[in-house]
Amino acid sequence: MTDMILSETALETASIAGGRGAWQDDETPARRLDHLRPGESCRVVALLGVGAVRRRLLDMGIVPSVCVEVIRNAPLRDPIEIRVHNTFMTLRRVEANRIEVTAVGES
Amino acid sequence: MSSLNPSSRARLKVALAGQQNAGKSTLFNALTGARQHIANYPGVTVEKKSGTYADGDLKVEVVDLPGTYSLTSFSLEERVARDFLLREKPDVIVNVIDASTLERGLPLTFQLIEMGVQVVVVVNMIDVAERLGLKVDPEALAAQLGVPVIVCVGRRGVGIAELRAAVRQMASCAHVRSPKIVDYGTLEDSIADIERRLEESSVRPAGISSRWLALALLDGGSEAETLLIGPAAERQAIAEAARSARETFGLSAGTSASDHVIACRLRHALDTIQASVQDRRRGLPISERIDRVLLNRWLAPVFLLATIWAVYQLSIVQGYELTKVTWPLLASFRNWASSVLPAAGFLTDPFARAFGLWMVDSVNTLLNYVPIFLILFSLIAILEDSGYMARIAFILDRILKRFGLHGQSTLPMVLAGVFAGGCAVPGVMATKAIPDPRARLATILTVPFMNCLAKVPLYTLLISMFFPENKGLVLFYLSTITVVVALLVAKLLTVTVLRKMETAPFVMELPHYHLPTLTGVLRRAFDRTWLYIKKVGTIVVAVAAVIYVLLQFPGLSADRIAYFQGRAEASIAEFHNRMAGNPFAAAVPSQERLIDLINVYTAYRAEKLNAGGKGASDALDAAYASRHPEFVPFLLRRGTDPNARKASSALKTLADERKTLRREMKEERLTVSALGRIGQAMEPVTRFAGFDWRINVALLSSFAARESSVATLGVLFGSDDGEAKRLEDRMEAQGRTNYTPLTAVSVMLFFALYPPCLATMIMVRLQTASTRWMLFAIVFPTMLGLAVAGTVQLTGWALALDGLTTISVIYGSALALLVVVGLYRSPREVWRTVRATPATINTRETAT
Repeated sequence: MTDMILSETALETASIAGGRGAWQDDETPARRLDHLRPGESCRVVALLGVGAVRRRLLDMGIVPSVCVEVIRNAPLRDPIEIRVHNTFMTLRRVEANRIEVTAVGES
Repeated sequence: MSSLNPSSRARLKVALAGQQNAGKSTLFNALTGARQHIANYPGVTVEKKSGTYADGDLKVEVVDLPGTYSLTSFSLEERVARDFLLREKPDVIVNVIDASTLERGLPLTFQLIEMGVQVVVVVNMIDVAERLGLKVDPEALAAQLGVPVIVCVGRRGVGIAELRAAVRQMASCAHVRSPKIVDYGTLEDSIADIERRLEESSVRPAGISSRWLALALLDGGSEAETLLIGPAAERQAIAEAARSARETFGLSAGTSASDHVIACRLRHALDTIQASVQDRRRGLPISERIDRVLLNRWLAPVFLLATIWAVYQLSIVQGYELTKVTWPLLASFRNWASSVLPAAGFLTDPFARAFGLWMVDSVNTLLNYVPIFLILFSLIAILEDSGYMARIAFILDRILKRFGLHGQSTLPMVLAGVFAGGCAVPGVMATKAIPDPRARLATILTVPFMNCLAKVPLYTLLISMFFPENKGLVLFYLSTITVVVALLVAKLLTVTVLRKMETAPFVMELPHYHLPTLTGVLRRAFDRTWLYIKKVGTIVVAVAAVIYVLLQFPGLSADRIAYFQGRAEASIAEFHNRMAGNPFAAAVPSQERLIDLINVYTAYRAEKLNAGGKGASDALDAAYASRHPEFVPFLLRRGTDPNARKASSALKTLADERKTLRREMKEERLTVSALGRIGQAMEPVTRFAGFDWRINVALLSSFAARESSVATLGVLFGSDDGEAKRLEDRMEAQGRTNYTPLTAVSVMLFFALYPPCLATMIMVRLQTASTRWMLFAIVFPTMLGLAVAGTVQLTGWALALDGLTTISVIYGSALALLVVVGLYRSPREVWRTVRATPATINTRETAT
C-alpha cells in the first residue's frame, strides 16, 4: 500500500508543475499563512508545492482567492486552526507555509 | 412481504459516497441495521462495509465507500471509491453531504453527476446546520442540482424512509441527468474536443460519461489514462491530445487545468448554495465559543489531562470495582461447570473434568475484563462522537510529530491503553484513520507497547507481591514508561527503517461539537467489546487447548505415580485411624463415599469463599445441609458434639494433604512437560534477563494472548481444584519466596515491551498488508524487551540496587532520553522551517 502511494506521488511530482507566481498581486508583497497571527484574515494567492499536499488543501476548500481566517494556535504553537467559509480546520505550520496569502486585516 | 420468495426479489446495489465526518457511517447503520458485513476491498487495506435492507420486493445492498473529498487518485481511499464506482457500477449512488459545510461537499456531488450515474443527494445533519442558522431549502437545491435531495438526521433516523423511497424511485428511472452541471469557462473548448475524440474512438469504457473522462484526462493527476480501454494506439492518441490541451491551457490561463477545474467547481458550489440556502448565522458558532475555552492556550492542557484522568478513573478504577461484582458470576459459572463435569478422583481427575475446567478458567480470566472494556469503549465513543477527539489530535500533534507520529495517533494509543488498560486489537484497527502512511506504520508498530488490559493483572499481581508499600509509584512507572518507550521507538523507526517512506499533510477538519446519542455510543462500545470477545472465542480458546496439551504431555512416570499413590493411601489410612470409633464414620463406608465427601467439602469451601455476607453464607449452609444431611457433621463446624469436631478436623487434614499432593504432582508434571522443557531449554539465554523457566513458560504462553500468561502463572502457582480464588491471593501465598523484587522489575518491563499477542499480530498483518512488518513487530520488541530486562539485572547487580531503585533509575534514564530526543531537531526539520526567502523556495519545491 505504502509503495503504491510512494510511487504515485513521485509520478505526480514529475508531471505537475507548481502553480507559483501566477496569482501573485504585484502591489502587495505576498506573505505565508503561517506568518499570520490569530485573528488575522487573508486571501489565498497561490498554493506552493505539488502532489498530495496541494490536492488535499484544494479539496478542503483552500483555493486561490478564498478568504481564510486564522483562529488560533495549538497550545504548543503548532498546528494552527483556520476558518475557510464555514469550516474550521487545522494544519501544521509546515503546510501553512506553503500557502501564499495577502492580508485583508483584522476581522 | 415475508410470503415472497426471497430469490424472486429484485436486487439493487447502492453505494454511499461522501466525505469523512458527513455522517456516512451513521446513515449506513440507520439504513441497514444490524445486517452488516465488514471486509477489505480487494488487494488493499481499506475496509469495505456492506449491508442489506429489504424494501418491499426489493433487496437493496448498500456499500459504504471510504470517505473522500473528490474522485481523483491522490489517496488510496479516493482510488478505492473511484474504482468501485467504475467497476461495480452501482444502480444508485447516495451522496451524503454535511448540511453545515455544503461548499465542501458539493464538488464531489458535481463529480458524481459528471460521471453520468444515478445520484441521490442526502443533506445530512440538518439539525446541526439549523442550529448554526443555515436554512437549507431542499427543493431549491434539487432544482439546482437536477437530482433528488433528501434531508436527513442520520443519528435520529429522520429521513431514512424518504431516502429509501428515493433510492427505489431512482433505480427504476431510466433517465439519467445530463453530466453537464459545472461550467468550466475557458476549458470548455478543450473538454468538448476530448469528448468528441472519445465518442469517435472505442477507448471509453461503457457506463462512464465522456465528459467525466475528458475532465479526468485534462485534470492530469487522476491516472485517467489507465481507465481507457481498447487499442493502444488510440489510447495513446487521446492521452497525447489531453496532455497537449492541458499544457496549452496552463500557458494561456496562467494556472494549471486541475486548479482551474477545482476553482470552477467551488465557484459553482457557492452559487448553488447562494440559491438554496438562507444564511442567518449571527456571531460565532457555538462550537467556536466552546473552543475558546477548551482550546485556550493555557486551559487546553488542563482540560486534556482532566479528560484523560476521568477516562482512567471511570473505566479502569471503577471498572475494576465492577469486576468485583461480576467476578462472583464467573466464579459461580466455574462452580457450576465443576458440578456438572465428572467428579474428581482423589489424586487425578478424569480428562473431561481437567480439560473442561482449564477451558472455563481460561475464558473466565478474559471475560473478567468485559465490564472495563464496555466502560472504556463507551467513553472513547463519546470522545469521538462529541468531536473532542479531533481537538486532542490538535493539541498533541506537535509532540507526537516530533517522534514521527501524528495527531491522529492519539486515538489508537488511547484504545490500546495509554492510561493503563485497553486492547491493541482495536488500537491497531483505528490506525486506518491516520492519513500519513509513515506515521500510520510507526503507530501500528508502537501501539502494541501500550498497556493492554491483559498486561495489567500481571502488573498488579507482581506489584502487590513485591512492592506493597509503593504500589502507586510502580504502577505509575509502568503505565507511563510504555508511552515513553513507544515515543522513542517511533522516533527510532522513523529515522531508520521508515526513513524513506512518504509522509502526508496534517490537514484535518475540526468538526462541530455534537451531543453523542446513547444508541450511537452503545453500538460502538458493544461492537468493539464484541471484537474482543470474538478474540477470546477463537484464538485464545484454541491456544489454551494447545497449551493444555503441552503442559500435560508426556505426564508422570509410572513409579512417580506409584509414589504419590502410596502417600495418598497413607493419609487415607490416617483419616480412618482418627475416625475409628467415631459414629460419624458410618457416613463414609467406602472409598467412593470418602472421595464424594472430600469433593463436597472442597466445593463447599469454594462456594463459602465466594458467598458474600452472612445471609448468603447461611443460605449456603442450609442448602448443603439439605443436599448432604449425612455430611453435615463434617462440613458445618457447629455444635459442641466432640465427635463432630473430631470428624471435621480429620477431614480437614485429609483434604489439605490431598491438596499438597496434587500441587506437588502438578508441579512435577509441569517440570517434565513439553512446555516446561522448552522453558528450561531457554533458561541459559533468559537467565541474564532474570527469568527462570517458570517465567519463560508464562511468557511463551502469553504470546498466544497476554491473558494466557496470567492463566499459566495460575497453573504454575497451583490453582487448586474448586478454588475460585483470585490469582493474586494464590501467587502471593506461594511466589514470594522464589523471586526477588529485581526479578519482578525485569519481568514487568519485559512484559511491557514484549511483542504483541497473536491476535494483534494478525491485525498488524491485516493493516500493513505485509508479513515482513508483522515479523518485524514480533522480533524487534522481543529484542528490546530482553535488552531492557538484561539492563535491569545488570544495573541492579552492578550498583547493588534494590528493585524499586532500579526501576526508578531505568525510568529516569528513559525519560531523560525522551527529553533529549524531543528537543533535538533533525537538520532536515530545521531546514524545512527556515523562513522562506525567494531563493530557498525553489530549491524546497524541487527537493521535497
